[in-house]
Amino acid sequence: MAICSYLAYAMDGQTEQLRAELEALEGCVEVREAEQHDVLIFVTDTPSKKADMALQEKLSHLPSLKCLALIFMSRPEMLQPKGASV
Amino acid sequence: MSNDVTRRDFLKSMALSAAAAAAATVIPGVAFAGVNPMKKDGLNWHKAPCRFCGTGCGLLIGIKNGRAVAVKGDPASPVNRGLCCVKGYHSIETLYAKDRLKKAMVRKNGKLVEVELEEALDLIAKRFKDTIEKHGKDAVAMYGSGQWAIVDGYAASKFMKGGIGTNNLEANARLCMASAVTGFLTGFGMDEPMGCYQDLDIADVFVMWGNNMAEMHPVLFSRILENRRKNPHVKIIDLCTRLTRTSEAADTVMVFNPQTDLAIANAICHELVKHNWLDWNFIKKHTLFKKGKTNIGYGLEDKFAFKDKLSEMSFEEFKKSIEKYTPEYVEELSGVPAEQIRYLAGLYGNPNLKVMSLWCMGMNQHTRGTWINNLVYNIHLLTGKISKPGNSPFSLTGQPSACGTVREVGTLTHKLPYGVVMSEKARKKAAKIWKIPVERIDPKPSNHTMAMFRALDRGDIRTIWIQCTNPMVTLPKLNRYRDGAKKEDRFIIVSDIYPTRTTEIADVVLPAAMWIEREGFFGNAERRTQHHIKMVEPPSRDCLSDMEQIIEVARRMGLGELFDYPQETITRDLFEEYRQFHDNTGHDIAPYDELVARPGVQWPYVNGKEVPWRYNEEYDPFCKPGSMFDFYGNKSTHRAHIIFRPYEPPPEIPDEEYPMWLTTGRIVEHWHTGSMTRRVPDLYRAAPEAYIEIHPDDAAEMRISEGDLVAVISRRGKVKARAVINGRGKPPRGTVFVPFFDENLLINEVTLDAYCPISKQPDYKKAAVRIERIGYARQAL
Ligand code: SF4
Repeated sequence: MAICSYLAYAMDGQTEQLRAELEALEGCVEVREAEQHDVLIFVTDTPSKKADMALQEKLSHLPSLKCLALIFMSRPEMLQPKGASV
Repeated sequence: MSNDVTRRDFLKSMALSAAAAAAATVIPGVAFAGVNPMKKDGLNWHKAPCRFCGTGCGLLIGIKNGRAVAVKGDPASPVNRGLCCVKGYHSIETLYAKDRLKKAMVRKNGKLVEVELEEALDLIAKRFKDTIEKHGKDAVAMYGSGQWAIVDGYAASKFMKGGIGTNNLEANARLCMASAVTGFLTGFGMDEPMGCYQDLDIADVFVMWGNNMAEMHPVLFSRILENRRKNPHVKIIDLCTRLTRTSEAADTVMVFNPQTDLAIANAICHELVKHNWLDWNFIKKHTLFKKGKTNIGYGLEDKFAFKDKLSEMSFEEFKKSIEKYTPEYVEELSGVPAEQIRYLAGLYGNPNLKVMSLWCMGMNQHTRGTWINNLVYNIHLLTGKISKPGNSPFSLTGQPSACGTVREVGTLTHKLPYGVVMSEKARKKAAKIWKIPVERIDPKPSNHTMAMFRALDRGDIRTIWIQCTNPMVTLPKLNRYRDGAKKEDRFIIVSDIYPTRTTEIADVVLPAAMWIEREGFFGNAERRTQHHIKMVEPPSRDCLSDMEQIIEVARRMGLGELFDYPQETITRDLFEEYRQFHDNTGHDIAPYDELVARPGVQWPYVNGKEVPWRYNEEYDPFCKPGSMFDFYGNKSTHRAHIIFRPYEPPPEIPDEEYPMWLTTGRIVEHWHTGSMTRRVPDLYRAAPEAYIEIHPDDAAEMRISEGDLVAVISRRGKVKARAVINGRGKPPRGTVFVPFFDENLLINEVTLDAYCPISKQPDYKKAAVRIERIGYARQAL
């Protein structure tokens, strides 16, 4: 349903573990680790609203995740370019 | 995009870039493994300046199978260091909307019909020749844009001024930057800022003069916010006529009555002088006091003419002139409390604080636009806060190459690529470089933009070629100029990439290649020239760049020798030819190869070095040795001008019949008339239509609720819009705001075509209107 990106902050010293946990999630497209910081970029692509909600639920229980910030969300299916009326 | 996989790929890449950019705003210098554009993602990445605003962010465009599929901020660009705003991230989608113009069209029996490109080009050349033969060379005109690549504008100048010999060449930057230009020229004898974007990281105080930077220049604003985050003493002062997202981020907000910025600036000078917060050393060595004419009119009449004349004045006379602008007097005029004015003067006057003044359309689209530019410079010159890191009066720009193309190439009636047409020296220089007889260049300026469209209405101009801009949305008092353009025996040629309200009235439409579909150069607001290669093919073989279209028509008119370069290298050759105009002038531009290799180079570029702060001997090799500061643009004195300009009221103020101020402007999602950004799905969805912002108390008094349909009526016209109360912008009581991005809500049918008599730039910020509710929220527009 939606393509999203987040900044995911790991609990102290748990960046590697968080990376593994995020990569294991269904809907995970990509995880990129910051150089010298406990923050990761997490990109997701979910096929349905249900999958989206399941992902959110799992995210809220990840033990190594300190904080998650949604940065980008797009629902390609819902986009109807109208453009100009001329 | 043509298929969903490509579109999803693009969105994922954008999601990744957006997160990387967001991280960079909270963790400076953060880098992500793998978010390296050159790494193995199967895309070919190339640099380009952003297609949209004058910030000139560096982008990296990812190309796959001949399509632009990804975009991210260029970490190597000193402008944006990897950041972008929402428009930049979506910029490549503007290439691919489904109604892209692909075929030339000619109006036949009242209807635009598709024709072969050759037929359209032949017709344009014939019409130009016939018009010149029948009505003279000044009956043809060309109207271009600050979105023209530098070589487009240069080709237009050579074609019109060096080929046809008419000065009927203008560009839409007249509507956005002309007052900044005349502000610079009257004060410093040379155009464009002395400072640069590095000032944003250094200054202690930022004063926004009628400038919603958070929405209009978000990447630069984020640099200010980052500076404040690191240095909590940093202050942002928002001087505004309505509350915006910039006000939300500001430390102090001062809402003033329209036009009274003139009085506020004078009140600041009054306080500086009263308390002797002056840099006397700087004033004595580097400035001269001047005054100009007063009661100068508003340009409302056809063939209005005005010429300013600066004369000397002493400091004592200057002091006397500003005597009446006490904070209390100015509080009455402006509505800004005297204490706040004193506070602001104190910030400018504190020698330990570095102050940056920033402005854009609020000061430029002003019937006294040149004056208010002068007045803000006065503050910086009196305090010596100029041409030094962090001390910087800085005029921001709206279009990607308003500076590079319109101001530097000089695609304005009075200009040549170097100097003005009135100067014999400049004409000789142009004739030499263009290899034409000097007599061909007309020494008299003809029509500035407003005069040009008035001349079209009257019939003095019969044929006009409009490239890369949409005047049938942007001209003030639009009904007159649209009716004028549609008159019998007017011939309108429009080059664009999508159907617009201007192509609607065209007799010939040429489909154009845009941005990365051709090689080009833009010049941004901090004197940075940026190059991009051709990365993808345009949607059809008939889509030529604006430069190529001009050359094709020139050849058909027998002016081909002006562009006698091989096809493969003509962009480079024309650019190198253009550079000759600026050699050793203080405007020296980096060579082509340097621009190809780097993400932008600032001018003046001398001996391999850029000049971040002009007129400062430490940085600028054009300063006289030992001078410390040298305002060499004023050739005979080498001093900057402190010019007294009084407060004068605007031509139209609210009255009983039209009791409210109308101000117009932009929003972050859409760029200018929305002809590109409204075709990007995410941006369209974020802001699908324009609206009218009304203060809650005004709305309650008129029984207007959120979403109600209201009529905005002025002496010129009437438009309908949905009411927004407590939206992103909050006008004060008695003021309404309507953005102009929506071609279905032509707010310029309501605005006034008054302009600054010196810069000839119209004022879109002040018109008197009446508001009437005409429908309820649930009713369709
Ligand atoms: S701030 Fe301007 S130049 Fe930068 S990405 Fe946005 S629109 Fe483009």
